[in-house]
Amino acid sequence: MSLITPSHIQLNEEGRLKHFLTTEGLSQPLLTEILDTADSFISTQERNVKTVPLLRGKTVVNLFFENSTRTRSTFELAAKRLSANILNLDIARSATSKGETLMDTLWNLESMYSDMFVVRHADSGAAHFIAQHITPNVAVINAGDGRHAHPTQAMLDMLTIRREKGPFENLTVAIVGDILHSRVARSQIYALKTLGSTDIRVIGPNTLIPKDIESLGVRAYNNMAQGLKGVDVVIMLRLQKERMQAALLPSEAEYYRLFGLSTDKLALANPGAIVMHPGPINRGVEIESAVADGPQSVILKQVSNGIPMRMAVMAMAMGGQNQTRQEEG
Amino acid sequence: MKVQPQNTIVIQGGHVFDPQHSLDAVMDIFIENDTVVALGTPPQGFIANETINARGKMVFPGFIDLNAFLGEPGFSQKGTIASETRAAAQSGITILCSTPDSKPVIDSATLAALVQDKAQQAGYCRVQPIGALTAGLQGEQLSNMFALKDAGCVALSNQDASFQDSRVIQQCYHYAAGFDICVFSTPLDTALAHEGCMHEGPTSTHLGLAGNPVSAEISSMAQQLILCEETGTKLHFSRITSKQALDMVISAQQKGLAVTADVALGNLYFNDEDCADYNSLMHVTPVYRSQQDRQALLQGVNDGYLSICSNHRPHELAAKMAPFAATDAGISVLDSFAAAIFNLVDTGKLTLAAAIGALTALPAKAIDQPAGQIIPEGRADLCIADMKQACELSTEDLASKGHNNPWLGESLVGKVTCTINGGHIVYRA
Repeated sequence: MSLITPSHIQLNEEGRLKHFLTTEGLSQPLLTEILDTADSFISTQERNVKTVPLLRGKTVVNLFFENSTRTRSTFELAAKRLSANILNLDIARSATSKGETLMDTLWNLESMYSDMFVVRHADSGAAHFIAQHITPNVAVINAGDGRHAHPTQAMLDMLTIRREKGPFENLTVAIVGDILHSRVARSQIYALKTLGSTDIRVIGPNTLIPKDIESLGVRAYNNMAQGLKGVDVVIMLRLQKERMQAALLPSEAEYYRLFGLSTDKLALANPGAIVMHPGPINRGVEIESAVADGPQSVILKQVSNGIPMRMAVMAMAMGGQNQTRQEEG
Repeated sequence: MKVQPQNTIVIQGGHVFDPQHSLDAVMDIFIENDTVVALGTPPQGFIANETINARGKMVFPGFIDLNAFLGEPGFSQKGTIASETRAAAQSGITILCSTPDSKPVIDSATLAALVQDKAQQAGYCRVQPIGALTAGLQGEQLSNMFALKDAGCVALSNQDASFQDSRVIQQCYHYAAGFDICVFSTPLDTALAHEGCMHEGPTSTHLGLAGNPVSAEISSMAQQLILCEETGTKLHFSRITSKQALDMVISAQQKGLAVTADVALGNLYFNDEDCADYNSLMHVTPVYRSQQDRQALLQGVNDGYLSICSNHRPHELAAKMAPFAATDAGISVLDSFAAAIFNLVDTGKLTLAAAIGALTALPAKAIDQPAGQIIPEGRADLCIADMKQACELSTEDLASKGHNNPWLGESLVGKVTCTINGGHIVYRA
């Protein structure tokens, strides 16, 4: 039986993006093209008239099975700046008939002739599942699926790193915190590897580091001081409060003592190292306020880069769909 | 004056193979009514009403499946006793042990009798139910264990349901031992398994799916082996998944405990890497583990330690149409059971003797039944197979209601051509 990875179905026959489900399995030129495209949209964001007509006449559906204000809003803004029509759907996830709800929802939406679904779902593989079962010609953008992937977040982080620190080849990057439950971390690791980083580290207690993490090509550290030594980029992950109740961690205080990014700990990294966080941040839980608001923090730049990055992947995936459509037509 | 039997069959020229009785030669088999009356030479005055030409084919004892979910009662959208036993007959199965996790749960003599009656009406194979070990499979109160055994349950099990605490397990085993009731157990510490929907390893980490660690299986197994030794119950580990679990079975047997075990066919075919594209057909209970585990389990069958069961779980289409973890676990196996096992023989992964032993003598021993053998005066439960015939199942060929069959469209070598259940031809290709 051949091994098919989830990345396979996101490319059309020309090797162009037609869905954006995961950073895994995409080539370096393609990831670089996504970054370049996003870079070009940054300049349009600084203009008075911020819209471009790339998605004019298209209907984008924000399909959020899991609550999110920030991610959804940036997708909405990105779609509007590409001149698309946007429909926001917040669908409470029914615990009893999840599968049927999802399929029924999709069939209903298909009947409305949408062109793109932006999907967030609590189950790993949900965006992949939707891309497999949706009508051809509808692009699926993964806005976060379970613990699996959050590729637009990872790519806006890559954009931020490239703009702040330059090429990836010689960069040492540490991802700190709850790796086990983090879709962001997985997507970052795949993107960093493909873009050329050779020293990627994950730092956290064993209970928050998934088994066999080394198989993803990273080194795991339990000791923050060792892990941060000589690092150029520090990516802090958000710690969900409910982790305290699941026998994963003793207390916020002990977590902060060991893994909270304080000014002292940051001093162990390379001078000029940048500090990142996908947000929203828990001040005093995973990061000290002085660090979050300090000169090395690029957290707000990440937020600004979110819109051009989402514009870039939406435009590229729609382009890949149009290409497929023309060939079929 | 001798009364002429109503039903006489001769199976001519087949290669009769029953390793348990050192049968491995071309010979004819003579059947009167439900009984094999002679091997090789016809009894005096034998006149066959029916002649089956088995030249170039193998003749095996009818197969025994130790674990299949039939859907009925309660889940007829997934399967019925008639549809699923028909699929079983096409795979040469003549005894099928049905699981107790229907709706209602098989925890009373009436329900156990109902399942057997329905199977008898359908007429494809004998269903010998596995009854519930605890009332309603709730893991709290003992079921009417003796009444269930009396009503034809060959074993009792809590299937995939958990126990309230370890004392309930101990008391079930204690009680069962007093009435010589065989207990089937699928070892799993549900707290350790947590939300795991696949084997914990590189692939689960890669996919972001919650992992079910090997420790969840073997820590439960260790506890049950201690209780088995303490109570002296006859314990069968159903559907083990790991090399460590197999090693524990072997050492328990060497210690002299009344412990047997089986492996689900799927665990001999697939491993955790097959989940890599979120294929919901690979979402099963118990889970597929690593490639090393799969190799060890194949070796365990070849060494004669493990029976092979189907772990058949037919589902309606919608049950598998969702993201991986949200789908119903399990695959539909019975239509492909024999062909897939024959294919393991054809590709050199299993020896023929081990495969047949794992489908006949070993499971018969686990349920303590005089079955799975070809002997004069034995019940005429037989399976005839063409081991060289390639077959490829398509949806239209399926007898099972479940189309969640991972072998659909796969070319497999080896096919059952005829199944005889108690002297009745119940399937003919």
